[in-house]
Amino acid sequence: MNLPSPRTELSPTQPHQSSRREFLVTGGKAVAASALAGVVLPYVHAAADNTIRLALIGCGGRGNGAVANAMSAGGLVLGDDGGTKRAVGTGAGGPIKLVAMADLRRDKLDQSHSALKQALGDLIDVPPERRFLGFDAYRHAIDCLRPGDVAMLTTHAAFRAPHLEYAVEKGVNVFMEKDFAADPGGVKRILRAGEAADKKNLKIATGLMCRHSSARQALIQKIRDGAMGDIQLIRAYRMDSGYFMQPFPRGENELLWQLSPGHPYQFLWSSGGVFIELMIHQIDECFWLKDSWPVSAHGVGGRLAGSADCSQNLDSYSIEYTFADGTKALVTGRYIPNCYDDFATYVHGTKCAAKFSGNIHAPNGCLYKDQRIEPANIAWRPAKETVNPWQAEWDVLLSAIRNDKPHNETRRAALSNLGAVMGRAAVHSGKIITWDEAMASNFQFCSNVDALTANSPAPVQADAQGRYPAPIPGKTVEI
Amino acid sequence: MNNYQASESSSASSVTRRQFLSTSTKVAAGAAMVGALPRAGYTAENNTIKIALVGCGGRGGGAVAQALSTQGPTKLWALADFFEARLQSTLNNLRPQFARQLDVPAARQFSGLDGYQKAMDSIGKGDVVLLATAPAFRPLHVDYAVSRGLNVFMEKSFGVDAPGVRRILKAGEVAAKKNLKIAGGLMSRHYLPLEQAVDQIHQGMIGDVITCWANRMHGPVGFKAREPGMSELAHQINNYSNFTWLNGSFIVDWLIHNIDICCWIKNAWPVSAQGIGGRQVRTDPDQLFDHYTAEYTFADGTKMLAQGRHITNAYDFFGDFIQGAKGCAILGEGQPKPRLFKGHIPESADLLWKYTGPACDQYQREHDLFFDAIRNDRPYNETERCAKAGLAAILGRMACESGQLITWEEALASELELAPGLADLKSDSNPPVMPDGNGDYPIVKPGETKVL
Repeated sequence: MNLPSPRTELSPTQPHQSSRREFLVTGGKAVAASALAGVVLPYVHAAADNTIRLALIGCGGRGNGAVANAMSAGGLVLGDDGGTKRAVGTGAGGPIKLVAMADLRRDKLDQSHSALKQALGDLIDVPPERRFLGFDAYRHAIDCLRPGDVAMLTTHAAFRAPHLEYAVEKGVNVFMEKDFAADPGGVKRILRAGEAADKKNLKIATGLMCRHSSARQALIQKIRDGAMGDIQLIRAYRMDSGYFMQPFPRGENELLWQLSPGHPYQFLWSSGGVFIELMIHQIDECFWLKDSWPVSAHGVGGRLAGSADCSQNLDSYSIEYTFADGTKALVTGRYIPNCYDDFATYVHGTKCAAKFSGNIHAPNGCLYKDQRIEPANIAWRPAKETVNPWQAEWDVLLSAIRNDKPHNETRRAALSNLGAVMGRAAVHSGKIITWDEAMASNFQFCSNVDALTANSPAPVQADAQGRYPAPIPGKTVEI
Repeated sequence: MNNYQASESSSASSVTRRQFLSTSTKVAAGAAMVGALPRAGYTAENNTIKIALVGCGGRGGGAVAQALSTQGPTKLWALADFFEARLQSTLNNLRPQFARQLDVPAARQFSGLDGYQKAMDSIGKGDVVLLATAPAFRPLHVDYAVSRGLNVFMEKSFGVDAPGVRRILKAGEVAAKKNLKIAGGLMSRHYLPLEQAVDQIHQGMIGDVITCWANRMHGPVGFKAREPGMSELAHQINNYSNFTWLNGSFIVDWLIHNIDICCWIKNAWPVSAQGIGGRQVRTDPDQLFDHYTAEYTFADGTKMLAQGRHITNAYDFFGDFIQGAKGCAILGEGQPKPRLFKGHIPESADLLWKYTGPACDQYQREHDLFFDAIRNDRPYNETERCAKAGLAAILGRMACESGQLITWEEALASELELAPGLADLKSDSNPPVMPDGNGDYPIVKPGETKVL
């Protein structure tokens, strides 16, 4: 059987291009138990054995993909070649297993469990009593862990802050998927939880995997060494055919409907909206390239005239970020069928241009001889990646846990998220939004996310036609 | 009456206005002139350049005032506008300052869609027609003016679609052969402070130019409700900024200056564009988008971003921001004091250059140069540059409205006319776009709309 795409549940209304990560390969290959037996590492944590135990909170495609990478099993589960050179189940040199799962929905949890079990066998050790459902399921799943274990936070962004806070309170390590917060209020909570984690020496990895791309790291080094002069302009694009949403069907539980598969990214409160969900990686690339946070954002965006889309997303976003040195990053998202599409990040320096990343985050960056971005004009390429970034981010986390090295990506990830929120707010409001304003803001789309139950009213309500309010530049406030 | 209002067929051999004037301005040559011209006693009066204004809106009235303020005798001779009421109001506005230069009896005041022909027919070779109607009519009017052997001042924009641009380009070539003078209303090109700023950039003060931002963001375009008894065509012409077939969209008609200035700085026209645009807030019954971002690429791989927004209570910026390898510049329409800076933060501490010369009225200067060229018979034909600036703006609209990546060649070769049969339009015709049953007009949709 196929699971949803491992890294994103977002599938354009008209498929854009199939990703190598879109299909779950279930080869049913036997787990290499003998390889596991040979590995002996010193205990780093005060645990009964050196097995790192995982709890998966949020059993969508992202969660499943993260489990596969945690177990170096991309080849078995995801069909990628990033982790297959290592014995499955020995992520970063030691045994690992999944012991608890949590989700809002039984069908998602069952589907995820069955697919993982089929691919990974005994590494999936989640009997029914450790499968938890509901808004408080995350607590029960985290309660199954011991210090040194890893809570995998892979729901949509609205719940990341309460989940992270609880994991840190319980003293477990964390892998958290992007994005991390829907609004500045959520970012603040993530930042505070990250600081608390530091005090407890917890390791926290975040799903901004591009930072772990060896090709990008090599390109960054080349740029830092002056190969392209000073960076003048960064251009990041992700455009596809769109994510049209039908009206809310009256009579359904509105909150659960908004959180059901395919819907969370249609609402600002639950995910931050489709723009941040899709664009946060490349926004983070921009900040990485400049090695700084932007001081302000300005943007334009809108929706097709007469659009019947009932979601809260606009279908075009163009954001101009300005950095402290006055240079710019231009970030463009468009979700409309039959238009020009690009999915890449480009850089212009004072000496030449570069491509930083390509289609579906491909690590196919290069330097060009001058400002012309053309295949015939390539001057330099980094070495081909041998471990893909989704695997690499897990290797770094598990290695940090086993060897007790500092590893906490929370602040950087939260601030990239804040930059994304700031850009989205600039488009939605039509105003210039400064970094300081974003940092000072405690705006939240949903003030009671910790207290939501299946009986709670939905944080945003459909109108009589089943449509949700879309942003209006000049009026909307999100900061 | 001058008898050198020669017929078209004799133009090649006839004494043209410029040739005559270039002689006559040398007053000492009066004796020689007697022999050269059909009648004597001619100089003073016939030094006068007659002006016909076609399109009596705000820019038309302004252009007349500037033309009448140039050196040497000038006279406003004929007026044409679609709306009869505008004819008298234009004269009334001009009268306090230019009473002695107004010679427009009722017989030379023409209303309706064919008024342009009558107004141009009333002046002669060497005279000047000011073309300032809605941009849709510019190609038709330029073509006619050139065929009549007139010197032309054409307001921006220079057509709304590729066939119109090509027609203007062709008229410009014919004008060059006839030695007609043609000025285009991209006044920024004649703004002394800007000329000097661009010159500094060309000399390398801010390094190689890598990114140009052409911005025009401010409140929404106004909309005038339909007056009682007004036809649909009259209503749309009365709101010409709101209908794409008439003004080419606001990224064309309102951003053309700042797009053109970036191309001037790059010394190049863009090779392609892609962009986004939409109508998110606007609800008036018209066709306007309220936001655009067009990303242009030049042949050297560098970029120009043209951003337009017409939304109240949002961030506004009107001007060009130019980023080079060493510094930046703020200039362009909306920024009367061009400045160059070290680095990319335009702060006074890093100021590299600012203009310190005398004040300059760019609108007046473009007319001064134009009339001076006529009177002294210097080559003066801005047609190609203006038409290509227009095409650059149209390329941006095509990219944003279609959602496609469009090349310069594709845009220039387009056969799509926004108003087919425009030349045959009558005052009682229906316009090319009509409202639906709810009074709404078609709005283009990226991904669906064909723009080529």
